[in-house]
Amino acid sequence: MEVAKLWMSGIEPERVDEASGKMARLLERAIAGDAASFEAILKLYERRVLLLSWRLLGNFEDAQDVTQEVFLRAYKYLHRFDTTKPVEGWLVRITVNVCRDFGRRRQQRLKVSSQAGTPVTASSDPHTDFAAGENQELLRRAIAALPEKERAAFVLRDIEGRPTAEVAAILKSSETTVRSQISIARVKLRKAIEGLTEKHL
Amino acid sequence: MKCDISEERLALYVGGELNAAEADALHEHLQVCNTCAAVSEALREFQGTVKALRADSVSPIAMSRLHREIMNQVVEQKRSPEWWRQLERTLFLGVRWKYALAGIAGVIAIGSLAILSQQEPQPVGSVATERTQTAGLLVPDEFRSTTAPAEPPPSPIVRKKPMAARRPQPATPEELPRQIMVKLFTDDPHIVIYWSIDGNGETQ
Repeated sequence: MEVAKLWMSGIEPERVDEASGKMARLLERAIAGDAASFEAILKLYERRVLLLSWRLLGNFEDAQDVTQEVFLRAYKYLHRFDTTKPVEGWLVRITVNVCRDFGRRRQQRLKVSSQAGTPVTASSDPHTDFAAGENQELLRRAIAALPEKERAAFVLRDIEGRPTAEVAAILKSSETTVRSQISIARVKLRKAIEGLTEKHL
Repeated sequence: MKCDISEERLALYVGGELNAAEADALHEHLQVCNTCAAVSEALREFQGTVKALRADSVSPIAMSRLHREIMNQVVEQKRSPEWWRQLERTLFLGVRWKYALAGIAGVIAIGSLAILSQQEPQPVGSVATERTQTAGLLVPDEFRSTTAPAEPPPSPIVRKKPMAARRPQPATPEELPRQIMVKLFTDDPHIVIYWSIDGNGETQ
């Protein structure tokens, strides 16, 4: 996948091979226990993992905790990873799983049910919510209120911009199911945001 | 105007997930249906808001702090021994974990079948013997000493036998109840009475 992306970006094939070879060497050294090599991999992907966690959970503090957990898990099970496959897909899968577990634990802790279609409540100050950039925060909370499968499909497809086939592979689902989840999520979110906008105008 | 196009379908259209034929058909529909056109436009605007989330950024300070925390924990983390990691790596990448498990399960299943098939079936004769022993309990005491050697006491443990083994089996000649011929002398030496009885003491 990474190789394909580099190809599409117009980078020469030699550079692609070089990048793949460099990553393979980093992985092999990290598997052998070299912390510096693992740190190099961490630097490449930590921002993407953090952003994905933030988008899936809707809370930056929780996303930081999840990012730590994702990389610790990756370090622990790195020897099981097939180095011929893209690292990013593997890390994204771990992130989705850790976020799912984290979300369930959080729900149990707070005893809050975030059912499908539950209207998202705005904060006490409507001017703050609809100030520049704040509607994005509102949207983030609306996304966090979606059921976990719809949320994961929506975030990976619409926010991360991954192809439907890749989303289906990450979520171990079919493309048809993913398309259905995405369309339902879009409709729910649009209604949630529209309802709040009308309420505050 | 009310039409049967769902909003979910419009959401797929806006996201470009319909095939060319479906998209063309819906495009034509939107030219004549104001309701669907309005919903479609709202979904398109919503998509724009969603795409704005792609520009999310994280401050370098927060990123740096998180990086340090992760590396501190990575250094402290104890990994499994090298030989175990090598074994797992071989299993995961060589035969694959699920195939390895399936193979182990298969070996266990075949082994179990082999052990079961080696167990000898219960001999049929034992059932007949047991029946004879049970019948022997009904023999009156006065005939017991002359009919057969002392019977062993019935076992307190009753073993349940398979249905096939519990079916009555034809008894072999030596297992048939013994016949006893009784000779009775009378006062008259010319009169002798004979009669035969079976193992149950019944006259035949």
